[in-house]
Amino acid sequence: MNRALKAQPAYTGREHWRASLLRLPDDVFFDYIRTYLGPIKTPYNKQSLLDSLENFLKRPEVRQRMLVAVSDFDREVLTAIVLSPEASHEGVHRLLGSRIGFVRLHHVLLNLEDRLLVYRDPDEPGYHLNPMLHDELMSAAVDRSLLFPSTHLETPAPESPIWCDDLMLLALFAQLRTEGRILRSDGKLRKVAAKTLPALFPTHARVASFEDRLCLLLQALVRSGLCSEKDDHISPSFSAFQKIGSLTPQTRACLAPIAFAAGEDQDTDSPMSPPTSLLLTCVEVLQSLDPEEGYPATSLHGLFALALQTTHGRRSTSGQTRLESSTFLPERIVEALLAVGVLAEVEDKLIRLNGRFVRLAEQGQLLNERPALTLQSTFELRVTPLAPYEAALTITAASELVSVDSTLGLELTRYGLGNALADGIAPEHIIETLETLGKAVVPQNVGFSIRNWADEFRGAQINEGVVLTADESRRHLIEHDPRVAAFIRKKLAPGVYLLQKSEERDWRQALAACGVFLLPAAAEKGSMHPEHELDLFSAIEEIVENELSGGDLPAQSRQTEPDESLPAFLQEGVERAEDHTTSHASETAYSELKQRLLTHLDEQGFPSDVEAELRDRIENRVILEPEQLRADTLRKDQTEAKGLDYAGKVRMAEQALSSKRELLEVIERSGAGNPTRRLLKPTALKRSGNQLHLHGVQLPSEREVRIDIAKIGLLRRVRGAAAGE
Amino acid sequence: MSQAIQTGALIVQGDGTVLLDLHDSGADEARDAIAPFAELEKSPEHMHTYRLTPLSLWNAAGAGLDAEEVLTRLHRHARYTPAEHISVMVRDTVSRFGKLVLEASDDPYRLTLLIYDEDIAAEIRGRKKLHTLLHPVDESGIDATGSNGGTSEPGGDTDRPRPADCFMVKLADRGTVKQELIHIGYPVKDLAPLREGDPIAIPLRSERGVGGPFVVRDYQTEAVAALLGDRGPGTGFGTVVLPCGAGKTVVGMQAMSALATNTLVLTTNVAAVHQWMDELRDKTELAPEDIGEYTGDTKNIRPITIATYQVLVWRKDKDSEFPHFDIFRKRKWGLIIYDEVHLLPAPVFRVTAELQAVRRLGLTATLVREDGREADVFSLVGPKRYDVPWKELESRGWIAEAHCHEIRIDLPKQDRSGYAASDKRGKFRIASINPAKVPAAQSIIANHPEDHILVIGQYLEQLDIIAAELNAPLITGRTPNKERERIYREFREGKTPVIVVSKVANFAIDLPDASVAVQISGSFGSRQEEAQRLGRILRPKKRNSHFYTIVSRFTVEEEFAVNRQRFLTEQGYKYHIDHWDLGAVQ
Repeated sequence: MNRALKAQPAYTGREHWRASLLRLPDDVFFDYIRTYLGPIKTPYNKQSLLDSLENFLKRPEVRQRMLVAVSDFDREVLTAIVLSPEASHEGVHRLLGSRIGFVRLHHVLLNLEDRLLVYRDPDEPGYHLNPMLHDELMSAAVDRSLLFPSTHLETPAPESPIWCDDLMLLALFAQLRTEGRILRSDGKLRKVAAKTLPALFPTHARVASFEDRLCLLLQALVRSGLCSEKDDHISPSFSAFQKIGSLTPQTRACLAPIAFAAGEDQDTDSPMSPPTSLLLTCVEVLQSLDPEEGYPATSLHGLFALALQTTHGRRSTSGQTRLESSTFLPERIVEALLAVGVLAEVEDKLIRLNGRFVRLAEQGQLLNERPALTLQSTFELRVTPLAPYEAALTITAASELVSVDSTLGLELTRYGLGNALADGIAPEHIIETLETLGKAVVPQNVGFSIRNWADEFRGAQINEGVVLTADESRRHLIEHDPRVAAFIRKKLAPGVYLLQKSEERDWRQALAACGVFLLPAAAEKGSMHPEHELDLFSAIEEIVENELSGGDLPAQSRQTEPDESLPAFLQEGVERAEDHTTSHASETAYSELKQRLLTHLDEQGFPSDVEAELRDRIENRVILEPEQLRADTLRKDQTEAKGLDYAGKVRMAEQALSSKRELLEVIERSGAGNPTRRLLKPTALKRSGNQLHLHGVQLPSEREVRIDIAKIGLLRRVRGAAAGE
Repeated sequence: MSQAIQTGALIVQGDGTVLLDLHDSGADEARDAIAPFAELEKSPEHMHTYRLTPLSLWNAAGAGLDAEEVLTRLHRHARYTPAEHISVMVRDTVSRFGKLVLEASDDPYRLTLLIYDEDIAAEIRGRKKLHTLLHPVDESGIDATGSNGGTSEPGGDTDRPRPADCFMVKLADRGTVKQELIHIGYPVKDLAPLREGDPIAIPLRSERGVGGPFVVRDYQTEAVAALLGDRGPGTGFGTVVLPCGAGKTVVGMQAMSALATNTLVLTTNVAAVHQWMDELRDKTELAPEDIGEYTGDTKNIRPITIATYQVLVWRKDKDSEFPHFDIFRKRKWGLIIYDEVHLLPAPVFRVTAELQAVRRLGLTATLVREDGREADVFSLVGPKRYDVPWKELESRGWIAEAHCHEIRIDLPKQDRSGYAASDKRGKFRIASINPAKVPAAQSIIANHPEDHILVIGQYLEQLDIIAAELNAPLITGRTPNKERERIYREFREGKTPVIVVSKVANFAIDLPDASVAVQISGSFGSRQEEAQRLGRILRPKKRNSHFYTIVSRFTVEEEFAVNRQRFLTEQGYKYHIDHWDLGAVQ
């Protein structure tokens, strides 16, 4: 059994259920009563009828029969109802994907309502489990693995390298600081890099498609905002790398692949969902996977899609649906995670969580008894997975990469220290961090060299800003007036001061106020770039949309139009065959019950039309005991008209329109002779010339349609959900 | 097991390096476990670096260690699970043992290379670099190798499988071919016999000629055993790497004694020649008339002859022959010893085929060359057979404990503009001959009144100045040999506590009581030179040794100093760096 995802709060309570039933249209309410309790005796009172129904449902044998009658397919739908964030017809359909067509699902949901297994509040679109049976249904019927199957594997979890764990991130950080020209403009590795990089990544270089994966990772680092790219030069941002120190090791490892996956689709312009939540959602999915299970790709796609829907809420108010989405985010996420080794493909094309990813949760925990790094007098460093990320970053910032493997090999160099100083890291802090992580005093020559190099770098500096010069007669005004002194960033020399361009207006005013007039304008050299803090997820924010609430499901759910080339039953995806089989032990019990009911029906000698209707009810599992097999519980009603029965079709349309709750199932023959099948909410019947057209809104696309009654092959009145559409 | 609390002294890397954490409780056991199949590369203070090389694995296979045992030992001591491809590499490499065999042929100047694997043969055929070294043999020739192996040895194996391919190799290319094949991952089993030399007994003394016991140390015996092995095919050639002062000469003598054969010793200069001769007289029973000197001054060829590299590669002009190369033919040598083998001059690499048929021993403390031609040494002499970390011998008292210091002094103001205006070479020179180094050296010397001190430098004018300031004798290349020997003798006897030397004293000079060396300048970033100079003060003695290197601060000399020190720091030596204020020194 898979670890459960957080399910929607399905248990809404008995009162909610009763209140919902009481708000049902009378005909529906009384149908339920008649079906289960027989003819209604007057005088009656809805509350007392409901009490009776409740008592009926409390009977142990009734409950037992209801559960026995739950088929495997019912379980899938019930599971989808529980797991779906909104559990509406659409939401459930999204989750079930290609298992069932939209129209067919409508009938199934109606059936489950009729069987009192689920219900709906008339004011809300979502289905709920009947609270009277909630616990039993949750334990016996709801199972995530039905929708997202997996296979238990006896073999150990894969232990392949992860391409974006902390050590790799740090290694790439160090290497890009040394040489950022790694990629060509076409995104492939440069020749020189292709030759030199395998030595720096000796184990990763042995993995198939090393170059492709490395290129993907580099692009991902840029997309995530950890690096920037200009003129084929990739530069890591120390502040960005520092920022991700607050994430857990597992989350950090997912950052780049998720950013890459989210950044693939740049065509959409829908509102965005919070990018950090995207990352955390994906990590939660990964953490919910069982390391001993292998998952088919479709299961993983579904799990990610479900999680993203749950996190990112409902569809946008513009009414965009998943069918209008062009994104395949869950699939891209899985692909990206495979590429970086967080997931690994194992036997039979199953996908499994990398054992190393699981253990990432334990990394970065400094232990009292073991140093996290070794520093030698040769200036060489060896950083182990024990090193906390942020501390390791400080050291890496002052180093050059030697190699990365199960440990990170670095060398402290003058060049590296210069970079660290430029990042604002003090040499003493580097020494202190080395001693903390290494649990040893830094070798004297190393400590001396760090300080010595720092002195060297301080000996010559670059200052960016505006230079103010003042002769002796004005210096006292500038240096001693606090209004002006506050703007002096640095005194470069006697009478030479460094100011900031961004504050020009303010310091001009201050200078004027202190009596320094006629200040010449600073030499025009372009304004200094405004300070801006790197928004780590800016790349993602521009791209990720709240289509996620509309769903990014497996490919089959992309269809926006019924495919007229397909047979009707395939037009909305491959449907599950009508299947009420149960695979568990209750199969025998239900078969016995069903046989008893059918035998009892045969013995009653009902007219054929009554018998046919009651037989249907048995097949639909709304009959739990022989006492329900009564002719007086049925209402005659013609529900479909077909072919040349023009008047019948018109009558069906009129009845559906007048009911305001009913839907119409329309099967048409196209010019090519292939039938199409749709579900409509009828809005009007209108004549245009000699033709009468049925107007309606097609579900679930909400597209307005107009259909010639004459061209309709079959028109069937379909009950809307008990609580309405 | 959670990765965070995994233990194990070894970290096995994807590139075949194996790091040994000395602070892990299982470090000793791990070191013993991997020593038979991993080559020690670096041994600084906390973590030693070993490497799984084709040669080290092949040697292990030759000693009976199979791939599974190698992997078991690695996994047992590894802190993190080694990557899968390491297992593949080990198995594949070990499986290649014996697939390429070098044997004698009917032609005494050619050998036969037999390849017992079609895939390997195809790969080798495709390697352009080998085309000039490997000469194909036709099918009938290959057939012949399958019967009696094409060997001139009697009783050849008649049941041997037919090789997939076969090549002829010139005797002179023997080492090069083996080296090239190792480079592409195919160690060669060299079964071609080595020529026996004329015998001569060379018993070692138990009492030294100058008095006192003479005991061969355990590591010296191990080194000889590693070289000679079981005396079977594939043994008798290679390099022994031991720290300065560890007694490499004794290793040479022990090898000579074990082989009891005519021996030619090649060394770096006349002083070193004389030192060898003194050692032989002191520690062996050889008669003086059996020991010959072959140098610019003297040309005596005896059963044991010591010659210099210079005389060997001397010629009238660059188009002439090397007239002294025929020393190799003058006697039937059974052993050639290359002292300070890292200094092997390039022409000797091209020497006659005879050298490849003779047992060979290379001796050095520092098998590093800034020109990267260590591989050529392996080709000519043979692979490294034995080494010991410097610090291990120090801890056992076989070499002196040495403290290294780097003293940084500023360039005087008057030299700074000249420095700034110079090119890199010029900058290095100005930094090197920084006049402030003289008082710095004086100050150091004043702190060691009881010690025997060497002052070593690169630039003659600087050495002249400092020798004059210190009132100390100066030895340079210009100094006649007799004068050098006199100064060395007086230094040994304590009559002269301080001597100033140029790079002639870098190596092969035995000054057992020298306990302080002050290096005032050196050859750019030469690691070997730094190590050799430290080696001058590593003879075990009652007091610790101190090595000072004086460097001009904030100059290119600093950068070169980092490189110079690399070898020693990789051996575990630590440099204590100090900045001396110019004013305070002067």
